[in-house]
Amino acid sequence: MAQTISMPLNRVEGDLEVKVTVHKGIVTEAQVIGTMFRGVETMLTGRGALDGLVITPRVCGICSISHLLAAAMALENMAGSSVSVNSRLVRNLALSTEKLQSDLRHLFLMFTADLAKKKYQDQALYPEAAQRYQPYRGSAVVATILATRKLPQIIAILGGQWPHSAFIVPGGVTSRPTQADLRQCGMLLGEFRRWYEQSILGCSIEEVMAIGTCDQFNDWLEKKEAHYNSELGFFLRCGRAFGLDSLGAGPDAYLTAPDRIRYQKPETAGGGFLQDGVLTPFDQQAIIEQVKHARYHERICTGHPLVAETHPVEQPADSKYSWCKAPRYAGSPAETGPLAEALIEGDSLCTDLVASQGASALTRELARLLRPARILLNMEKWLERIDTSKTFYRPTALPDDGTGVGLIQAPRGMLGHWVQLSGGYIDHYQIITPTTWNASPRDDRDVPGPIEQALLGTPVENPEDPVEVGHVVRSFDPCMVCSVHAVSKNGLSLGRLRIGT
Amino acid sequence: MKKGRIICVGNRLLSADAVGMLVFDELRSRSLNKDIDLVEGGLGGLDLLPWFEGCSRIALVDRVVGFCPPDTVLRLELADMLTFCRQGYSHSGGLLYLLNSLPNLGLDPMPVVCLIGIEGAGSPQTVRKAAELALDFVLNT
Repeated sequence: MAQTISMPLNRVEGDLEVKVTVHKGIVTEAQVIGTMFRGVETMLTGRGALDGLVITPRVCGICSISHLLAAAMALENMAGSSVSVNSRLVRNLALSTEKLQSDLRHLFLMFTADLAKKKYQDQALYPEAAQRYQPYRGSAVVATILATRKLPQIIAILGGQWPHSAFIVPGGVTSRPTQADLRQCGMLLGEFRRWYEQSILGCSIEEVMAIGTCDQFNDWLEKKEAHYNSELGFFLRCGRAFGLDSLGAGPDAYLTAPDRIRYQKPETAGGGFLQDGVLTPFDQQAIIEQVKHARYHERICTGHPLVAETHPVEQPADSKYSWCKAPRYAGSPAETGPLAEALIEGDSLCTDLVASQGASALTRELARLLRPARILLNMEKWLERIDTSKTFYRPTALPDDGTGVGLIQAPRGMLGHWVQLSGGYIDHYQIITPTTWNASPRDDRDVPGPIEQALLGTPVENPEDPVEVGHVVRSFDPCMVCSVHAVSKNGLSLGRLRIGT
Repeated sequence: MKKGRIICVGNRLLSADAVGMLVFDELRSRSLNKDIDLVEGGLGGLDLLPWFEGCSRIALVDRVVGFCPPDTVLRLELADMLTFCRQGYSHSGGLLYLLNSLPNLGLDPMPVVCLIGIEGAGSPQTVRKAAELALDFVLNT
């Protein structure tokens, strides 16, 4: 008999419900439901050109720099202007700081809490998992809270305030950091790097960056006790033992935005779309929003983000099950986030992990845990490159009429802002967040979104505590508070269940 | 080291959740004892942690719902707060996650923490009363 599970997923950011149908212990159908109308785009219409810089960072309490940067870049794109090297470096540092904090907190405060649940109590690694990952008191949890607490100081030093900073504007940044400011940022970064290497990696960043294959990863794990017992080493062992490497494959289509922050491969600086192993350059014109299954008017809310509007349907049909639109790239759903970044940039370890074992909740989280290594190396270089004698801002005149797009890699993946001005006022605004890509509903061809696809085939041992579903959903780090609802094949609800603490 | 700190939290843009900010404005208009820090905590969650370091007594000021009649003020100790509010990490739970974690973070000194909770959007009288209660707590009077 099939059962449907509807889970409220706490510990993710926002409002999301996942409804899965379980038949013979396997998920056979999944719906990811955005339960709230955001409406920020609607609020912006008719406002002044610069208002997006103030309002859109409030979309997210964690990623405010990301939205501020995308909003500024959309206006710069419209003006056809460029920014100075200094301002680009400062922006990169601020955005990367947000990523560092988000990556570590997501893994050890949200994701691994489920590995400390009783479901795994018969596993040999369970006692240590509980000791490390128990909410509020686990050793990895406490260490992460303490190590990430000072990171926002970097943004505050560079930009004067965090969260909801306002120092990124069309033309650059409004701050002018001194050498002393930069030294202070360097000290904060150095302190974080020491913790990341000692506790998370158990070795230097350079040693981990040299790992290129699964076999080398296994050799690294066994090579030293410090590797084996590091957070990376234990998570790898625990993830494999608990079966995370067999959950949540996803759509095998990955997307990244054009990115000013390059880690290794300049040739992918323009972003990319990787589908079935074929990488094509990113083209924002290939993005389209579809709303057959979203609670919006299909005639006016479908199309490229510069055209598609945001008008909710007052009494939507049951088939319109989500407040998230369904963005598609070249007609395909696409996963975005740290794993997509790693694969499109050609990170050899992540590429080999996916090639040999497939994408999974484990590879997604490993990509997230390893991303700070690349970020930290870049941040150190950027700090050194800032020349305080040169400009941080170029006056930028905005046209009264025009269109612009700002695309960046936010902590959870590709973020896009599209804006159209008319007579100096915002005539149209669209935002596609990373979670809108990952948690999208079915599209106009009824093709499920990335998380919906990743859930298909997931084994569920106990429908009353569907931990496995939580693993898959959380591995995408959705920026929504989430719930899961179980129902039987004939649609009868088995109750609304909350997972986690 | 500061003796006491008052951290007001809430959202100025959302009138139903702005009362903590009104108390902040009330306190800022006064000449406070030099041993007291006043912090506009906004919607900060875990990132308020640095403000829990380096002082002995902390009063959080925020709106509460369902604890007492409208337009009244109450004081909850940390242990009471945690009894009512065990919640995971989310936008809304960031501060609660911090409070739940606080006893495990090895802070030295571990501050004595209370919540000055206000029911309702905050009349001038309740805002003043909340400010007085917060001051009384951090000064341990």
